[in-house]
Amino acid sequence: MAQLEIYTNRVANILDRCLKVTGAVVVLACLYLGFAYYRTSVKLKETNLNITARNANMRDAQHVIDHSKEVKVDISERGLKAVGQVQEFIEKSAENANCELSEFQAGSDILPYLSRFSRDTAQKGWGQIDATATLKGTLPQIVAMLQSFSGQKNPVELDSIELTRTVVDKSGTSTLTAKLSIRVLTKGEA
Amino acid sequence: MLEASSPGRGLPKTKSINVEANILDGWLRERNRLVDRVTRRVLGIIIVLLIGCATLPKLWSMYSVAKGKDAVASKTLATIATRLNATQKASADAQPILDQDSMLQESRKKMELAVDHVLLILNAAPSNVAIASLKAEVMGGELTIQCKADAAGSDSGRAFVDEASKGPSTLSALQAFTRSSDVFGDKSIAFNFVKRVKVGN
Repeated sequence: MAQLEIYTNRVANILDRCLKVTGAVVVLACLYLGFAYYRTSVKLKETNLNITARNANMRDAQHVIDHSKEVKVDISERGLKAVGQVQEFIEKSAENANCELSEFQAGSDILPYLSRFSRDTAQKGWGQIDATATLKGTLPQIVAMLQSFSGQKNPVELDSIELTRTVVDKSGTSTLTAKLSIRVLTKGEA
Repeated sequence: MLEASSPGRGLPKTKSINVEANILDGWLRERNRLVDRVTRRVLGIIIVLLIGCATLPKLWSMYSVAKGKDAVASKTLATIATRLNATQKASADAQPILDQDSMLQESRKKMELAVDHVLLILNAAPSNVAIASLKAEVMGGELTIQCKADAAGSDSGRAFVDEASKGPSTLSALQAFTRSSDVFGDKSIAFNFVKRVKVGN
């Protein structure tokens, strides 16, 4: 019976190859898994960052929605229709202040908005329509009329106010003419 | 011991080598070397396998956990992206309302600011000063108020100018022109007052 001899060069060579192959397989498997883990971790980190960023965007968007619900603004009247609203407001305010609206004029063109209150207009996408209103009344009446503009529902910017004393009655009460130059601001249609 | 043969001749001294012993020794050395080599390789394989067994499951576990987390995160991201699209659409629809409100609030502030400055000048006039006309114009963030008035005397005119020159953000205020007038009698004067106020940027 032939004795099984394992300590031969052939066996040693085979083991040598086995060791190399096993080592290579283990190293490659480790590298593959390590790289896969690294790649997945990086992707996970990016995904988490994306989630954080989108959550922040969502909070901002939600804030805009929530804020818009609290705001009571009518945006239905735009363009030249907004001028009609402003005219109506001035008529009512003049009536409430007991002064006379002798004239109201408005342009028919919507020009790009250029504020007189700043050298550069920050708000883009707005148009302006020039309008003038001439009022007659006593100083308190005119002042009351001017102060009522804080209740105005359309954005209106003041260009100029001209107050001229026209009549002084026997009691010393003067009647003034107030010429109000304003620009009605409207979104979009410039 | 006698070193001689029976005929009386001395035994020849011959040199001999133990060939069998030398062959065995070489074979043993070679065999030991082989045993050593085989043992080292076997040990090496065992060590590599042990390292593999210790490392690979750990790495696999880490990879699986990370992949699981990534799958969950990706799903969350997809859900958030869908919700975000809907929210951003609603937000874009709501934005004009906020723009309008923001512009409205700003325009109210500006109007109030300008009217307040005009009122400040109107209120500065005492009973012996009569304002004939007033023009307030906004240009480049500045409100210029030009006022023509009559006063009972130069003192009352100066008092009006001092009072009207007060107020926040005043850039300049001056009595630009004075002449005699007959509105309040002999000593009355007519004058122009100009005030520049910063109302914007």
